[in-house]
Amino acid sequence: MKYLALVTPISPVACGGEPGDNAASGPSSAVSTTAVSDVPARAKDAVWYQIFPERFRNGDSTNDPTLHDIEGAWPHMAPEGWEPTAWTQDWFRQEPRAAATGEDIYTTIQLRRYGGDLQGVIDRLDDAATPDTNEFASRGWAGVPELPEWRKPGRPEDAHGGAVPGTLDPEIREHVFAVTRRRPRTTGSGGRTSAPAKSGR
Amino acid sequence: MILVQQFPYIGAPHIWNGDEVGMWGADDPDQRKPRVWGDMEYEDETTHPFGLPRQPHAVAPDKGLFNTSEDLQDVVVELEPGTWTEQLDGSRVLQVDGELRLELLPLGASVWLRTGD
Repeated sequence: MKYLALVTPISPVACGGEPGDNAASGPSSAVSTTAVSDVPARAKDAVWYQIFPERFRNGDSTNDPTLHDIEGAWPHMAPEGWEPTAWTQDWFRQEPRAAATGEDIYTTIQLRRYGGDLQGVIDRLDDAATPDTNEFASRGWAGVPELPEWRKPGRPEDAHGGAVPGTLDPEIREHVFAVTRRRPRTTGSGGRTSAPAKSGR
Repeated sequence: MILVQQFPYIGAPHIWNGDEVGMWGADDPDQRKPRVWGDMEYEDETTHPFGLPRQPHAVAPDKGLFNTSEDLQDVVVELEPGTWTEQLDGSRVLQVDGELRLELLPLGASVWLRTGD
């Protein structure tokens, strides 16, 4: 059994864009597709961990999002004084500056950023995957060789909604390679299919 | 139960961390909450998205979900006689004469398929 990890700039259910238009829009521009018949053999007995860095762990507060980072992104608002949402706040409570826009929670929730980053993934990878992780693969951000252009800013979970073309940040590229070079320790054979014991602390 | 159902079904099982740690959240965007870590203190969820009254909900890893203590549960299931094979690890094959007795971990699961007479 192999354990693989997958870091994506989008969360697993948003590959097609806005809810409901998955079938119409097809695969996201940030995700390459592979014919079912061409699935690599190594994938067939692997456990994959797909990680959405923005909501995983804030490992570096010096790169927290700023108002600039949501420019051009849905819902195309830039409230003065905007700042990242506190990681631990009540999910449905609107931030005062969000409430001041007069929009409802489901609109202003799209303005949120929490500041999770690849440093958080690097720091806590062992808590996300199991100690048996013996390979780290990724695509999206990490699919750098196949994806020279990343679209930004967009919603953090949406590869193309309201996004404009951009270039992958070289610093992000370095982070990705730092992670992919990592080879967490391997213990014994087999292992759990989830990470309950450690994440339950 | 739904998670277990995926294992013998077509395709790869897909388990969310939120299911593992006991988070609430269903339709987009409410499945995008920040990950729940054991080393952080989270504000209780007390706000309803449409301003309605609601029960407060504490946000923390639900350790009960992972309580794989030694407190095994005895489970007895009536089954058609025959050879039954456990499907999740495939290692256990039992000849059943009408009743299958199992010991399961709390919240554990076992999937059996009749594989012969």
